[in-house]
Amino acid sequence: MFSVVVRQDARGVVFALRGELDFESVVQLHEAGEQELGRGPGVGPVVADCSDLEFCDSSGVGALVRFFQQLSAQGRALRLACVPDSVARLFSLTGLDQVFSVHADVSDALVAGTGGREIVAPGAAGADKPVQPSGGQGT
Amino acid sequence: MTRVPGRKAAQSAGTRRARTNGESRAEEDLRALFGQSTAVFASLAGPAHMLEAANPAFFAAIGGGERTRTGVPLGQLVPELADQGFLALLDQVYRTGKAHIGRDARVVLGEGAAAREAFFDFTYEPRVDAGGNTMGVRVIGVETTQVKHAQRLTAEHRALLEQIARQAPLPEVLEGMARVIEDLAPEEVLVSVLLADADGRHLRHGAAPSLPDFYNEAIDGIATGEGVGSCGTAAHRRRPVIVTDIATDPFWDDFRDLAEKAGLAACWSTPVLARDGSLLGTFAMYHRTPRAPQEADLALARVFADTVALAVERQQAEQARQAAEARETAARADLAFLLKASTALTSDLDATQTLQRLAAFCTPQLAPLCAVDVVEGGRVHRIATAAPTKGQQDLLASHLPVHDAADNTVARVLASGMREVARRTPTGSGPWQELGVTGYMCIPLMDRGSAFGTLTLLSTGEHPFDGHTVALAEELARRAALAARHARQYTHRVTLARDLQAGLLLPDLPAVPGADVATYYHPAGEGLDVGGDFYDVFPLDDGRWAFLLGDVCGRGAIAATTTALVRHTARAVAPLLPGPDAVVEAVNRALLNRPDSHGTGFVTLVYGQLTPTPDGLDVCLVRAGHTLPLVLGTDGTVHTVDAPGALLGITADPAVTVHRLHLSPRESLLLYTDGITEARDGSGEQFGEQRLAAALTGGAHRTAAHDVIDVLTRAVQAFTGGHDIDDDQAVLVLTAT
Repeated sequence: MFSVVVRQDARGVVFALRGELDFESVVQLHEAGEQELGRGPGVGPVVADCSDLEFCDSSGVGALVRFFQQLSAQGRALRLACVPDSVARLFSLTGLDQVFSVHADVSDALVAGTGGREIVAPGAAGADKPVQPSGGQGT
Repeated sequence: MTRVPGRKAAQSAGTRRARTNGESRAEEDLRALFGQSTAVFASLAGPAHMLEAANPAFFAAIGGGERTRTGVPLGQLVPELADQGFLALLDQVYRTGKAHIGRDARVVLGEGAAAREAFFDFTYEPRVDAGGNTMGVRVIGVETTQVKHAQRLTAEHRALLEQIARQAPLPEVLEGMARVIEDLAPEEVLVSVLLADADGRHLRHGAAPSLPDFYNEAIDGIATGEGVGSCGTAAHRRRPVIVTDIATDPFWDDFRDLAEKAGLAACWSTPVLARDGSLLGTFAMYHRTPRAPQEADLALARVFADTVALAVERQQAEQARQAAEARETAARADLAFLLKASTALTSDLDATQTLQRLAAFCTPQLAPLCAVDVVEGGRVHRIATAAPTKGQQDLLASHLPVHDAADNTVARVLASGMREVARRTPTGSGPWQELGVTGYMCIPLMDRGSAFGTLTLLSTGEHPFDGHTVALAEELARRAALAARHARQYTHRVTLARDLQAGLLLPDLPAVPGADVATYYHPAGEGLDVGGDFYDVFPLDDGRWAFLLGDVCGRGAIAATTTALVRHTARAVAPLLPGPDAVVEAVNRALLNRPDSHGTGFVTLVYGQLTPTPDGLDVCLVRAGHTLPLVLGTDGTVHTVDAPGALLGITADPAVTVHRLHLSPRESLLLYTDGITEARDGSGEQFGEQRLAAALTGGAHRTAAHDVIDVLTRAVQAFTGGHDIDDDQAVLVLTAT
């Protein structure tokens, strides 16, 4: 089972991911992501709260990367918080922990940008090529 | 019975009333059949039985006319009574003074041709004077002839009604009825029932068991109309027509000779009408001599005309019910046929096979012969034929329609996109004579508004195509054309995917010095899409070799372009750059610089270079977000190779690091995609890294790269239990030799 609970915060938006994010459940993250993207730029970073994320496979990684790219195109960041060890291994293997800024807790993640390592997709911050939200590129 | 000269269109019958109040009418008619049972009375005097007085009924019974007189001995007035013992009875009563009662006494009155049989209940009573002396005899009688006949007729009529209720065949009912009337009539009568066509314009033979065949044949099919004999006229007028003398009646002008030949002199015809007043037929009684009907005769005609109506309407209702049932059955059969055909047509993923099935389905349901022609490369190809015999099928197959001939049916239908149906052979040459073709239907097979082929159905013998068959064939052709189109698209797509995939993988593994190389690739699903997994092995200029295995996020054409970009970039830059990290960074840049239309998905990759050494292989590799490579030791141990590095195509710096290792002989390096570790069993559980390592541990005896792959793929298959593979799987094994 998997669920995404989206919570507005004065400093940004929190996506609380719960359960198993895999081939079957990524669609929920896509849907929640599309809705968030519809709110447009200028509404702050999105923090994926992974406290209750029990499992993530390559499809989940694909979905997170896609969301990251789409947010970057709006000049917004996707940060990870509270990644449990079981999931941290996959994030580490794929290098997601290098692409995203990873934080110990949600509050840190919301105010990050000065502390954590913040990588924004090339083009998003005025580089040559903006990254457009891609369609249907899930693994 | 009195004779009425000339014809009388029986006004007493009047125009027929609706049968709603016809029941009381029928009862009246039945009562009429029993006749007026008037008593006869005569007073006789003296031993000679002098007729002193008698009522008119008595005189009528003995023949009337000259016999209507008194003062004459009865034996003299009615001489025929003497021989029948009636005078002896009178003598006895006169002599003894005792009354005599007789029941149903048969008496024949009149002589010669005029003689008639009658039945009476008699009472002979002595007439006694004041002194008790017998003066004469009083005769009181009630004629029972008609009652006896009517009782029998009523019984037979009831039997007929029961037969009709049982839905006995109409001819049987009508013929039985005709015989009953003929048998029971006191005089010779010949019954004829004619049945009207649906439009009421013609009369067909129904039943006439006693009329000669030539007569029945001659009047079968006569038109209804004024002056067409008794029956044609009665049918036309919807009223009884009584012809008492055919020899002189103008209605019979056209049939007089025929009637004479059949020995018919009079014909009384009553129309048989349905409840709604429409004409069902006629009921006629013929006589050998000219005669006029009495009321009882007309009543009989009405009763039996109604009986015929009942029988015919009953049969028509039954026929209508059967026809409706047949139509419903046929409609159900059509639907079942179409469904079955559609299912069969769409089950094939090959266009030619689909159309061959079409031909098989059309025969023999729609036509005995069938051919399917398809245009390819500007020529018509006959791709399917069906016929009752192999010889006919071959003959049909050997004939090819000419594509551009204006007089060729197939060519015409291909050009116009319009079907043709005709009751003749198709135009243009063909083995029509040999096959006995009598008609054809040529239906275009359409694909987006133009005909790519035709379905030709040929009839033989007396089997023309009706509208129903044409509609069915057209629907079938439409579905077949659609199924063929889908099959063609499917084939194109599979071919495209296969060609693309072949171009993206190595057709043959190169021989790498010092290394035994084996690969495994299994695309997900039906092979409709190009997979996202890829691998490559290629030589660098200085004796080193490069290898890579990766996974593009996604599948299909966009994934294919990304795969090509990664492989070709690696192949192009590898000889020019110092180490694997530089090559992977170059690939990352290429991915970042992709136009959006070429995809924005990321790539995970292991890229490495190997150098053959005297004691194995020196390997340096980088891992970019990919699954961890495994090293299989000669002692059966399995180690992971952990080189940090992020997936490609997302960030400018994937931060890859170079990892170096050495493979001694019989040691292997195994690269795999996540399709292996994420393979699922029936419950959704993933295979995982631990099961993978466990499957490979202890394989010290394995010396060939392909053995490693065998063990790995068997372990995965055993785990998934044949569960559908929903992701691509790729494996590359390098074993030092």
